[in-house]
Amino acid sequence: MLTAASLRMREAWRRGGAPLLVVAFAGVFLVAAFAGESATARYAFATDLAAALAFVGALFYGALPLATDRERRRLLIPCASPVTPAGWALGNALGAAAVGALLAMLLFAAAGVGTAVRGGIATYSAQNLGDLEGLSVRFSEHGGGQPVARRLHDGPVLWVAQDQWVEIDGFPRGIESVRFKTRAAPVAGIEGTPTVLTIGMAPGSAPVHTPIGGHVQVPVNDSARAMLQNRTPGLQLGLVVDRSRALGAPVSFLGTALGTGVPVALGAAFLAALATGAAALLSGPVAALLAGVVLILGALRSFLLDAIEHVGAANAEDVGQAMTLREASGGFFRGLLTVIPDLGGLDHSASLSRGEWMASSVGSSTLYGLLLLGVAAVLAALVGGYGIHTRRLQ
Amino acid sequence: MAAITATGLVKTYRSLGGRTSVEAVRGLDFNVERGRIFGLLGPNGSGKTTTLHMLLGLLRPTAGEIRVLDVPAGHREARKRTGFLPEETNLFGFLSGEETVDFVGRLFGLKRDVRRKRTEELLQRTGMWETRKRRLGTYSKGMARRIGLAQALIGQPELLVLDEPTSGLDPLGNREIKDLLREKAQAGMTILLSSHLLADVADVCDDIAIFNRGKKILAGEVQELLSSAERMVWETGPVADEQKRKIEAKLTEEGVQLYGVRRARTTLEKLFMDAVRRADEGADGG
Repeated sequence: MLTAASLRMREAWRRGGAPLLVVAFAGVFLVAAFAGESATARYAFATDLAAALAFVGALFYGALPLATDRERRRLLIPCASPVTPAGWALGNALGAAAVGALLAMLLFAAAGVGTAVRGGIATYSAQNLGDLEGLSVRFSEHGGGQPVARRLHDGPVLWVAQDQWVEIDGFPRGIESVRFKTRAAPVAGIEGTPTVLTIGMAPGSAPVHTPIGGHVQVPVNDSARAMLQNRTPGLQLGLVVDRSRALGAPVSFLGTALGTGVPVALGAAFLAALATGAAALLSGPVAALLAGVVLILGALRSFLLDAIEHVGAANAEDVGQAMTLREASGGFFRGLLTVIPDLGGLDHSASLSRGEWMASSVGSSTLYGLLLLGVAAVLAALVGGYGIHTRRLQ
Repeated sequence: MAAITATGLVKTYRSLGGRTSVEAVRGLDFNVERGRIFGLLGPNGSGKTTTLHMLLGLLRPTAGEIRVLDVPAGHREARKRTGFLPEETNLFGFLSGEETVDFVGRLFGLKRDVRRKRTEELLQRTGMWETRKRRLGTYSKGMARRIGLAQALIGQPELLVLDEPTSGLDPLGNREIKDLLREKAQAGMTILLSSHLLADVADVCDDIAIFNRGKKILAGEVQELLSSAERMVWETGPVADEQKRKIEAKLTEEGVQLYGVRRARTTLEKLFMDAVRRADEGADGG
């Protein structure tokens, strides 16, 4: 199995992989460095490109070595050797998966370094509202009425009940977004749940953009309200204010980018393994067609999400609508692309704090990805082994 | 004792929907004795390669049975003891010659030092040591064929299966490979080869079977099959014209039907090899 895996990795390097990688790396680097003024936008664009290239590259690489009869005939010697077909196919899938993962990580590194070269990117961390100089937060009392200025020192989160609304003034420089959380707070006679859920920053949804130093009224939007209503009566809506923090140093940013690339790498690995199995069972052209479809859908998805995000940002007063649009579109394409975005971390998770990213990506996407990768690799091995031995060599 | 036993072997290829089918092998029986070189002959599409693939376990027979080294064909035990050179040199072009042989050694589970030692021996033996670092994609067909043979031998197999082993080789390489096969057979290895090159088969094989349209139409020992009870050949030293006339007259007098007398001819292969050897010696000498 390891022999097959190492052969596939060597094959990737020697059959034109090195120059292709250099070109892709340079492309992502240039996009990250020069394709726009905002570091966040450049990084988002570059990581989208990196993810798309990694996915497509992994699909093609998974499928192509089995794409033609000539390529498949190379398997005669391994198949006639004492290696078991499943072991060979599994090794093949793992080798392709490793190549896909490595490609993704390198391209994300290119995005990270490219962005850092021109001043870095904003990453975010939740701030204690009480520490924000000049910030004025007003929220309505129960049942509406006039907003009342009030400061809370409940960590970084300001909690309001579901029938309240909030106004924020005087956002300090560096504060770029707010987002919602819910929690179950103890109320009379009802035990509270200590869990804090994130609303509005679920993967794929954008933070609410607010003008720096400006004024924004944050509505308790429908989705948040629905979540509140479905929970215990004591649930409250929290407002988290994120403060951006520029990470300019290439090294620290490289770490962030590579961390963000992990789910994409797992997605790429999954696709490469799947494509290997598909090519062995069906044919190379079918696997290549699959890769093409994914490419087109991925491009459409990126394009639409970016467009919607820009609309949302430009129309800051209607942030609720922008979020809804984005959620709707993200859901639609995610449905089409099934596991890819969930594995791929295409949610610009750089806008989360590191701790939150660890919690959301490592805690869910990565484990989910690892599980799927394992299942896919075993399936690919079985399917590939069966395909090689029953159809492809005839 | 037979190294390979095929009984009632049938292979039918069916299209995906099962609407069309092609019978590649039709009721084949043959045995290959241990330590012999057995040649499979036949025109294109006669079922040679299909038969080889079935005995390697790459294809399953539609009917019949094939046993290799006392176990069913395709059994891991049989594959461990079998070396294989496929028809075309379908090797991995991105590996070097040395890496290719080493890679197949890994497939056979050989330890690193054993692989290294055997790889060197085989590359020396097949004349590929000097060019071992070059990638296979840059080799000529004959060079790739030699590497193919080296990889087939890395596991020190009891059975060697070769599909067109001498195709693409120059006469010198052809001779070397045939000598190597002879040497391996003398050491007890069983060799099964298929070839279009009849002269090569006649030269190296002990036994042959001729296939046509998936059936065996002729089989036996090469020497026996090629010798004729109808005609005799005497080889002599130089004979003067007068002596020749006397011998012819004597033979006629004895009632022997004489079809012709001609000067002995060397083979083109021998002529070529002698010429190349002389040229090489001349170049080395001066």
